[in-house]
Amino acid sequence: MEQANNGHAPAPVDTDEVLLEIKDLKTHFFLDQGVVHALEGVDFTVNRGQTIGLVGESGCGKSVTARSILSIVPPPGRVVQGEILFHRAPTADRPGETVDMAQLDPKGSLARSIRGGDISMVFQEPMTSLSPVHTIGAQIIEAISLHRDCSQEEAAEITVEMLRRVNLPQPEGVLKRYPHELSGGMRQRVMIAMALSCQPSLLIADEPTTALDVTTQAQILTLMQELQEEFGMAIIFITHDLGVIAQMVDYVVVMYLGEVVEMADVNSIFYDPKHPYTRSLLHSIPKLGRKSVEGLTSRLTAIHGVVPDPYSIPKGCPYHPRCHDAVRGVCDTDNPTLHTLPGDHKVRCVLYDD
Amino acid sequence: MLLYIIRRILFMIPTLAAISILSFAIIQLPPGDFLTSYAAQLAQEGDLVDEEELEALAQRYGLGQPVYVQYWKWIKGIATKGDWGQSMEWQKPVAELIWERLALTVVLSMSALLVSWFIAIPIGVYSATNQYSILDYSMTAFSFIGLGVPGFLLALIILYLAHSQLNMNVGGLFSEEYMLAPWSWAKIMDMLAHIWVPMFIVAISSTAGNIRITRANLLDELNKPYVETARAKGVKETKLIWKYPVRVAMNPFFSTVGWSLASLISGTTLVAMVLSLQTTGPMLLRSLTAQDMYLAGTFLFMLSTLTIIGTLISDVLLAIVDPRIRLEQ
Ligand SMILES: Nc1ncnc2c1ncn2[C@@H]1O[C@H](COP(=O)(O)OP(=O)(O)O)[C@@H](O)[C@H]1O
Ligand code: SF4
Ligand SMILES: [Mg+2]
Repeated sequence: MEQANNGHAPAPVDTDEVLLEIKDLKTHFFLDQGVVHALEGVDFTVNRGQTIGLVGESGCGKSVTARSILSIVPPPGRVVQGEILFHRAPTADRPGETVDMAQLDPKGSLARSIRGGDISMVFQEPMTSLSPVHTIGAQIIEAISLHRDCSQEEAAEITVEMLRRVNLPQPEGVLKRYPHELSGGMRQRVMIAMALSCQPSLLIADEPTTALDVTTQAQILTLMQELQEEFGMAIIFITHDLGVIAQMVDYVVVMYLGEVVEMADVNSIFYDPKHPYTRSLLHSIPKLGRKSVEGLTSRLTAIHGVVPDPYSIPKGCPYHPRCHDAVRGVCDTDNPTLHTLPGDHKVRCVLYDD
Repeated sequence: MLLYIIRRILFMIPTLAAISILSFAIIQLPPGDFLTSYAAQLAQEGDLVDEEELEALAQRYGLGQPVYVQYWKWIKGIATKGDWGQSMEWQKPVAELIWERLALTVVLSMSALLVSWFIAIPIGVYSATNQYSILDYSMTAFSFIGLGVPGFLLALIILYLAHSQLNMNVGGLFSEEYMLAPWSWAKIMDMLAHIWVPMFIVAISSTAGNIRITRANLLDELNKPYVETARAKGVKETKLIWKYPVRVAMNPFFSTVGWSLASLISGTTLVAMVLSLQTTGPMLLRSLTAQDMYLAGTFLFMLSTLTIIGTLISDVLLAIVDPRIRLEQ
């Protein structure tokens, strides 16, 4: 059980204080072929310094959730309902405030100052996520200059310091390099350095290790844990890799077809999963034994049936066509609400109705 | 980089030698020798055939001697005296004929090239970033029309409209009084006053294509992850578009701009003929139809040389703007 959390001490931050509240978030894509209901009412909360894992099969809306939080949903997509309340910590020249990212003008100055400043993101594709025609230094310095009040020279110094912190050899040299001169793992370190260069209170990591080989994956994960201890930011860790979840996070949010179907602390999810979908996710990992799961890289595969296409989400519980426990006449008519079970374990399934 | 450029230039020497042989072969193509036809032409035009002059020419170009001697004399003349041979039709040395035209052509084509991209880039960027907007649709329509209407037709239409509606003559690069005058400040001003219309006609006919290129390249780049990374950093949207995807989308432009060097000479021939511009295009065409072989050979040599130089320029430019491309092997 301890292994699941990897025994890391929590960051020195008041983890009871709420940082981000997502309430009934709906994000849709308005395509010519129809409306894709990418998010159909997502609710979860992130506390300061907490690490949340967002897990689910490909296409369930993890990345769209991340983009909604940053208000960078690409058109024709847009947040159509719900709140994304971000509690911004006070700084020297401004009091703390609560901002609803869903209401902001995505191109406006407030949204832009939060993006990259208070909330930053590491993307899945380190090979293509950096501009091929600008140096590493220029790209990180730009981020720093946007959010911190400092000269170019100071920004360059901070950049070198950040590159050192992510264990890149010869950080002064890396500053002048172009992305294509670095390996995938090094680029992801650069992305992490850039994301943390403005000391955000929330880091969203969207499958940051999926594109990397196993050894590099493990190194990057360890690095992120170290940096979290040092910087104390909260992390939303998006992955479809339950091994990574077990190693990295405190709290797990399981998504299916744009909805949260279950959420609980990591141990409850691994040892007492409630939702049939979560159970089948865990079953699909062959040997997630009671032993150490560190470095385990099992992928979510071989769940019975396929994810329905996003234009025609099934009526009732969206999971019922694939569910072994489905109750006829109930599951195919009404979508259950999210119940809270003892231990603050939340699940969306009729089996747990009172 | 410098080493690479030097090596490329050294490699050019054998290529140029081969091209010069080819060009010379063309000069040799017509039956009989150049001098005989020259004398014949002079006689035909009723000019006095100056035996001494003919003798001097024969001496200069090694006529009557073996072909390789003639070739050698031609090349040596070019290299040492800038003597490209004699134009039969114009009865003047080729060098005297082409330099002014070449300069005019370069000025006209280069300014048209710049104007064209200056118009095309902002419109292409707007179209791509506001896909399916009214302006995007109208620009798409415009560029289809632009692609379909050849430049010379546009020139004819404008010539006709200017003449019938405004009673203006927009053809030519100079007013009549300056046409044959030696170069002077006043002549330059006169040219600047006249170059507008031809420049815009030449520019417009390539603008449509350039808008489409810009739009298509940018659409490819807009959804790349590095654009989203910049957005997630909080960069202002307009700055972001110009600094990242537009910058990358322009790379293909740099890789082709060098090639247009060669088409500078031959490219705008039809427009130039319609507008009676004293550029190289019409002269090149005329030299070929009139079998004015030294002139034609010279043009051919220059076209090929410019193609090679243009390719090098493109390669170097691309290496400068795109750090992923390395020139050193
Ligand atoms: N740019 C887009 N245009 C249209 N549909 C999109 C777009 N991005 C995501 N979607 C849709 O939203 C749903 C969720 O996608 P995503 O969040 O990327 O899934 P994942 O959980 O794998 O990250 C998918 O059905 C996908 O088709
Ligand atoms: S509500 Fe019904 S179909 Fe949905 S997960 Fe629960 S039992 Fe299965
Ligand atoms: Mg994703």
